[in-house]
Amino acid sequence: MRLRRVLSSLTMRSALTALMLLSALPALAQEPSSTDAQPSPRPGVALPPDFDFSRFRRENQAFPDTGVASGQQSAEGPGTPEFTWLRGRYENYPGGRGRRGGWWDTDFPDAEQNFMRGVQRYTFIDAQTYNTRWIDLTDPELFEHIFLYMTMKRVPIGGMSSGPNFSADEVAALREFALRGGFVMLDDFWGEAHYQDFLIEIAKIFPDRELVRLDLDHEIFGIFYDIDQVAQVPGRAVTWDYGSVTLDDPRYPPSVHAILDDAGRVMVVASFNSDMGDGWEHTFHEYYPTSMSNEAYRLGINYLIYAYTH
Amino acid sequence: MSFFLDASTMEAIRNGQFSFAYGPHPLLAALLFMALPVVVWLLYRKTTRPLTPRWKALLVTLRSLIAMVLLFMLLRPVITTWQVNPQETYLAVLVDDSQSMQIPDLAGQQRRRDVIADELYADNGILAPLSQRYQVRTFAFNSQARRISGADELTAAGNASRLDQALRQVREQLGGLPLSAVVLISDGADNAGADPLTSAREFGAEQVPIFTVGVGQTQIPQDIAITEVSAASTILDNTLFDVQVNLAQRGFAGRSVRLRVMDGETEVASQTVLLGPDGSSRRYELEISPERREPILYELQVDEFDEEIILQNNRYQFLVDNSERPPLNILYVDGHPRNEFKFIRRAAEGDESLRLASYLQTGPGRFYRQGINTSTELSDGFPETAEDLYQYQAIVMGDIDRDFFSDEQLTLLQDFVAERGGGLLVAGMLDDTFADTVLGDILPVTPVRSEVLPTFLQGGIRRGNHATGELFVPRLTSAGEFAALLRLDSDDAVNRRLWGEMPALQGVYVTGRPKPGASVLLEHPILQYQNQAVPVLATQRYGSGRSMALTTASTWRWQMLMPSDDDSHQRIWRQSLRWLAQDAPERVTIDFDRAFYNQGDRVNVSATVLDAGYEPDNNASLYLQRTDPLGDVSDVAMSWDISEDGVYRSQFTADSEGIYRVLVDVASAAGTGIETEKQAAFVVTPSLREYNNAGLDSGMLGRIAEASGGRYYSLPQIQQLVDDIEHSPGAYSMEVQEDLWDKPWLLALLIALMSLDWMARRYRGLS
Repeated sequence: MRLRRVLSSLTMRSALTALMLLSALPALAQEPSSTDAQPSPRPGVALPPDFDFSRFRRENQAFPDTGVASGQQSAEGPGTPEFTWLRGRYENYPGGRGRRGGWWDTDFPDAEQNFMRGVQRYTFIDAQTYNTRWIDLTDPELFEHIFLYMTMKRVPIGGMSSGPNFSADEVAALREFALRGGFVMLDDFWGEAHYQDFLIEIAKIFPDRELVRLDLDHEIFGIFYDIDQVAQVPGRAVTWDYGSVTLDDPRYPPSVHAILDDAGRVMVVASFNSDMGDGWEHTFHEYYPTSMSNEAYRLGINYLIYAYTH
Repeated sequence: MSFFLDASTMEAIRNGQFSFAYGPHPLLAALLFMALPVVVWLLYRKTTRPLTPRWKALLVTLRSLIAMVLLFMLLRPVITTWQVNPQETYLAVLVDDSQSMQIPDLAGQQRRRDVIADELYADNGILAPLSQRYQVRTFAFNSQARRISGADELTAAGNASRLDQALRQVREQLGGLPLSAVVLISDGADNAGADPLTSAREFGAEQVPIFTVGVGQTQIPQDIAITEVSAASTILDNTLFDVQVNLAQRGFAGRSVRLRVMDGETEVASQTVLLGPDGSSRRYELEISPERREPILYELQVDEFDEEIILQNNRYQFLVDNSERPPLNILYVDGHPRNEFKFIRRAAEGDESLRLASYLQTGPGRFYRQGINTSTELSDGFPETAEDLYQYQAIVMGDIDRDFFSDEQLTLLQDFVAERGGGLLVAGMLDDTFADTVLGDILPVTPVRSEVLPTFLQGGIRRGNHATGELFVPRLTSAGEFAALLRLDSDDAVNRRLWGEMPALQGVYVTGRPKPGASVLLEHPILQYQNQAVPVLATQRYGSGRSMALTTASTWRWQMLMPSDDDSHQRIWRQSLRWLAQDAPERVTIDFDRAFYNQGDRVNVSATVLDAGYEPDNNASLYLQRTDPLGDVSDVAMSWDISEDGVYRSQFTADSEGIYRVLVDVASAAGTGIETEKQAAFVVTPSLREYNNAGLDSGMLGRIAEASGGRYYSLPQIQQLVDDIEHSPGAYSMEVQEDLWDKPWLLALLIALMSLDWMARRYRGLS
């Protein structure tokens, strides 16, 4: 039954991709090469519905790859803190790493930088606000870190065009990263179609491992903060559109799924029907529900502490 | 009576025990002897027929000799010697009846036992003539002596030769009886530990000589012998055992043989080895990985050759105690979540012999405990009492602030290492404020404040534009290369190659010089401080414990930058943690006085009990439950050895071969928290001691004879012993004078001389 669903969504996805390809041709011609220096330039096409001006401003500044911005120096001395927030950049559907094919840089870098500010404040993890970066999954430097964040975002809801389409190299790197002890956090995919798509991608990485749904009694929900509900952190254009927020939209019941290693430790965690990235990104947005930002921080910090202890 | 003089008579003559019973003054006797030829010559001045001078000289000589022999006999020559009255005294004959008597190393491949039986009991055996003069008491001895009455009672079955014990027993049994002498027939290979010379001297003091007879060849010409096997669990893995084998051989130099370790009928390990030169002993190593968690009896076997004289020592049983053991308890405190913490945890988690209880400060006012046994363990942070802290065998300190510890806790930490005998590892960078604390004492390196470091060594271990934050490949020192805790492979070359493949580390915390007693195992390849390479990993003993300093926080790179199926990181950490913890004493330890026992041996078992503060506990009550190989259970009380604090002893005899298990039950008077039970096992194996070093020890037998006033004989000379015994001075022998005039040879000489004289005179026609 499930297989049939996956197959049907595959064909649907292919059709949608073809359409998308046709309509995006002029834009693709202008898309810069995917190996550009950070930060990722904004593609010169019509602004997406979630365009953020503050972000536009920031991405014209030098990206603090390493080193410490003034005023952010840790009390623990000079040098780069041990923790660097990594956001994975991956092969998109139907191809390329730019925006129109996929959404790997959604909320980048506000989400992580806000979140890092929280991590610095609430935990003893050696982190800094601007010590965030994106990384190609095939970059060997991936293995110098233990935590990888990736958004599984696809547009639109219910559609299967766009989104990650991990290449063989990326799959191998992700699998090896997780097996050596790295922790992968996946975020921001909504609805059945996205879920099916997610299953396809995850099955590429771990064809022999079962995806398990984590219940609230799992250690990850109590390791730092006691989390008593998996929140549906609102995502823009899903349950939040700048004016109104639909909390606990019954169409998108949130859940957390994981791939475990042989010792039962979580290697990959995925927040389904929840957009933790938005929760972090919009911490200071007046219309965004603070409680939901809080939930995103709390769960995010729990993931981090879990990654550091398992 | 023999025709010629007995050896004993000759000996007596040599010893000056010869005299004339009617002896005039020796000068007069000499004069008489000299006068005889003169008188004869005078009488031969005139003869009835003329004689040539030659004939005259001959006749004078013959007649003089006859006269001198007659004079000699008339003077009644005697030797003074000793004798016992027949059947009035006793003679003890002790025959070695241990397993070494089965060795067929005598002429014609005869067993020692068979030859002895012949020499004693056959038609011309020595017992018959001895019995004519003495009340002979024959004993067979191995670990004990027993009376025997015939050759068939010599079984050569005993697994020990205790000469001293045998001599003592004979003295006891024949005490009060007039014992003339002792005959001891043995290969002299004593393995009792008690010196038989003491007994020999006592016999000597009582004028009871011991006549020793050596049996066997001094060196067994063709034999391969397993002389020792020991098995110890490796530091890598408690379930992996190194088996060390000592192999001695003679007669098979350069041959290759196969060593096999058998678990019942199953071969669990084997190795082909090349034998060394003749008479040498070599050490070989095998590795076994027992599958059952219990004491297992293995048998090591080595190939048997047809020419070998002793086959019994080609097998050797040994015990490997692979019982479930409680894991080593290690406390890990860390000041913040960091990569190093994560991967040390992961390394320890995969090892059931380790329990890593960790206390991690995750955020302000927050901590996270892992690996805890009870909900209260570490709930108040770092333990404040010895009782709480001493339950761990080792402590790992991560990157943690000085404020985390009170002064008392630091003192406790020092006691933990120095008194309790635990291990301490500081992994990572130490806060400057620790520089003047006890940690500076405990650690193998001296922490220094960062401001006193030269500028180029400042900056700490974070990555950045400073030398101490750079990537580096640590250099393995020669101590490090052979340190068990850093071994990646038992083969030196492979180990070196694997270390060469390890990814670079990043960031080093600069400390002062290593302490004089410290060993540096890893050092920085470039950076130097005080003219020495900056240590990366160093260890030392501190008090009764040990300490280790790791000055980088990046060993996690050995995990993340190596393939996921590589276990170098886990291996190094498991070995290091086990090294830190494994020598910390336990509250109850059980020791046996020997590594293994043979049937009939006395087993001395001792238990050392420490109280909660790891001080010897003299007020515990201990019970020992013993399960023998047949499954029979018996209880033995253990009592405190008043001369040793905390030590309780018990002993019993091991009657049957196989594995014995003991369970010591401890009830501490102090009461709380004591481990109440402790298990151990020992093994009773077929003995090889009679087959190893089983060559004849004539030196020992000679010394016994000498110390007691007797004499040593080799087996072929045994007949001579019969006569010698009779004429040896002893407590019950009387001094007798033995006439020599009636010796047959003397009469024969006289008759011969007279006949010659007569024939000569007839020939010349004298009347």
